[in-house]
Amino acid sequence: MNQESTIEQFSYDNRIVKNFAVATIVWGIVGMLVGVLIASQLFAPVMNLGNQYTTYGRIRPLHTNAVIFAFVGNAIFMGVYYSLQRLCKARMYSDLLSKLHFWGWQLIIVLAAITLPLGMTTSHEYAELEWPIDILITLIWVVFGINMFGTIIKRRERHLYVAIWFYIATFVTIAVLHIVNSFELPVSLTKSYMLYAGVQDALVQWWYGHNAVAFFLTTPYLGMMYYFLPKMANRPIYSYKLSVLHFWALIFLYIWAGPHHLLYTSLPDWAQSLGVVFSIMLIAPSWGGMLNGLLTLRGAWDKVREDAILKFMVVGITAYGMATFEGPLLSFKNVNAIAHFTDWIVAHVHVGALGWNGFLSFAILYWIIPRIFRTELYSKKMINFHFWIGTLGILFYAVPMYISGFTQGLMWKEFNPEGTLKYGNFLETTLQVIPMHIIRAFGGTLYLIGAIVMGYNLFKTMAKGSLLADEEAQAFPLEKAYIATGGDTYWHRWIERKPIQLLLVSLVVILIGSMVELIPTFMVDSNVPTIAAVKPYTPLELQGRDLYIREGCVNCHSQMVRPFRSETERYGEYSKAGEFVYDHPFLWGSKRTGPDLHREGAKYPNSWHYYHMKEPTSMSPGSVMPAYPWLEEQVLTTSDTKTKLKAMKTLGVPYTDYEVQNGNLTLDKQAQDITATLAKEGIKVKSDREIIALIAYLQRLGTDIKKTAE
Amino acid sequence: MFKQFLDKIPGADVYMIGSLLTFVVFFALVGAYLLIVDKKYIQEMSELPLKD
Repeated sequence: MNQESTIEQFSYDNRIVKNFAVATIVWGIVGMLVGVLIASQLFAPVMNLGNQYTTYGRIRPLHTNAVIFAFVGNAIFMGVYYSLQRLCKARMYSDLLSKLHFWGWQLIIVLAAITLPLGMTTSHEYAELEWPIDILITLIWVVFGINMFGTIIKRRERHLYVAIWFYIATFVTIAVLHIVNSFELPVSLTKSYMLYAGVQDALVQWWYGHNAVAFFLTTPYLGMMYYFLPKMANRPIYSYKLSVLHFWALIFLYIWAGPHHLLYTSLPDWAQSLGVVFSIMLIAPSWGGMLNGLLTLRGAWDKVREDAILKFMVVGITAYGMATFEGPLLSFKNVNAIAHFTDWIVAHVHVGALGWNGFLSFAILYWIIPRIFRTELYSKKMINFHFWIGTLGILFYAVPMYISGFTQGLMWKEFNPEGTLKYGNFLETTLQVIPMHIIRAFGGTLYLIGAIVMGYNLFKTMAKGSLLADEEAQAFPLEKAYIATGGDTYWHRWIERKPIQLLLVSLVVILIGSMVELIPTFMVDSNVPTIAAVKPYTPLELQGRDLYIREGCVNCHSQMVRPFRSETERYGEYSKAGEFVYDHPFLWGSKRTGPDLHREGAKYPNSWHYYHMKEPTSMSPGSVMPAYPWLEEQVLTTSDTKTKLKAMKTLGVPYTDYEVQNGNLTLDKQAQDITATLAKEGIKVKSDREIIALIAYLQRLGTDIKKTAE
Repeated sequence: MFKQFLDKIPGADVYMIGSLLTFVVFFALVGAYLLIVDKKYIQEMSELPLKD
């Protein structure tokens, strides 16, 4: 047959790539700007801007969601839509689905930007968005999946390049993670309770949290590295074989590593140990990928000197290597004992986020925009400026955060020769690291300036050129009935040719680790020993807990006293798994800017909490905690008390029908009791105010176990 | 370390060791495939991004 006669003409959709690119630039700048704002709040409380919508607790999730899902998310879609079409020699399956995907994703981002400052949050880190948005995310993710698989199915290239494998693994794993971590029982349109409680909720959350890093911030970027780096350096990847091994080992091992976020917590020991073992093993595939990237540039280092885009790639891939070396290191229990809850973790994630995700995104943007706009970059000087200010930004960010992390970790554990804590007042340790936080904010500002310069440079480039919306291409169609011969009969080659098989095998690979970790924790009762004295929250405490969630207190305060002498000395009895059985969701936290609060109950009088929430410095001079005056002004919403109690009962919290029906009566009684104790100390406050509920919750924290001791 | 969790969960040892073995077997199979795979094919695959 004469093949010439069958060649097909088609075009690549560059408009969708451009749209995602513009969204990447815009949301990137917004997300980093919010980052700089929250960084400054940690040394200048005035930067909380005096209103509830811009306090640290509410907008810290806005920053993480903006940079992860808005900046990185749009960058992923930009890279995937550009490379997938070319690797498949086919236009995206459906222009309509592409548009739906783009606008749907932007809608999710806008909804996040509105709801998070309003305090609508599930409090699960990196999964804070409430249930209606979770459903929307699922729908848009399915749209993306159909569009991606549709393109792969109608492709004109028989074999799937390794970048596409990474995209497929990303799609399937994020789908599983998002669904399992979003099992919530809605209470209203803007409020829900997690299906799981305490230890189980924590395990699901960090199985999700760690693998969101793995399959949102890592695998799609590795796919993009495998496509764009050879294009940029004009040479194939160093070892394709290594990339195959890298792919399977990475997706198999990553899924097990989540529990390293919960070392020394109330999570069962076996689950902690399993997380440690697999985290350490992870260094092999991670470094395999990094070396594969860097070695691709062998013999081309002269190009790196000239080409700022390659410079971004080299620093980005090196940052990936550093972060993935540090990850296993941090999962050693003895290292984790010092690093956990400190700024060390913040430094670690930002080496990955600013270096790996940020720099790769910038490099790909600089590479794609001139190509689809058929022009040269507006200014090469500006790229060089961006590279250097960005690199300096990372250094000025990471170095002080490491110093701050070590300082905190060591100060929290330091004892006097007499055996008492040297820094018994937690605030001393917070104040000690303030200079480091100032330098960190400076580093973040440098990085932000670089991104703004990039935005200017790229928009000027777009204005200079004209978008080639439909890029003409041609290729031979695939034979309809392909019969594998010779080397193509190997079993692995069969997977490589078939996207659905690849999806299914990837799914099985990630499910093995997930099931081994999650199922025993859910099925085996002995994993969460019950404590008879632990009782459900009263209606007022439950409402107070929801305020604690709304204000994002969990972003600065943990509720997990680890079994170290330094912690039991400071806070009291270490936390037991059985104490959290009614906690939907768990609120263990991951960072201590302020002290742990699990044993806060009955530590101070009600009046202390009242004054402290109104103006923290009145009780803790020098405190960087924002003031919460609105808690005294706002009336507590009690119309939903019954619905909330009912929902908790459905989830297994043993409230009686009487307690559910008479929730508000009990609530009023307790509120009046607290108001009366405040009145005795000369504080006049109405019993229907939010502050009363929050005080009730704080005073209850960690007290049940003390009743057992009595 | 492994003893700790094998002791605490009755019957779990089988599928935990099973999953580790699955990984080892899968890893060995992919490794073996990569050792015998046709070099020309690998070269062709690695050049895919440069051909569009």
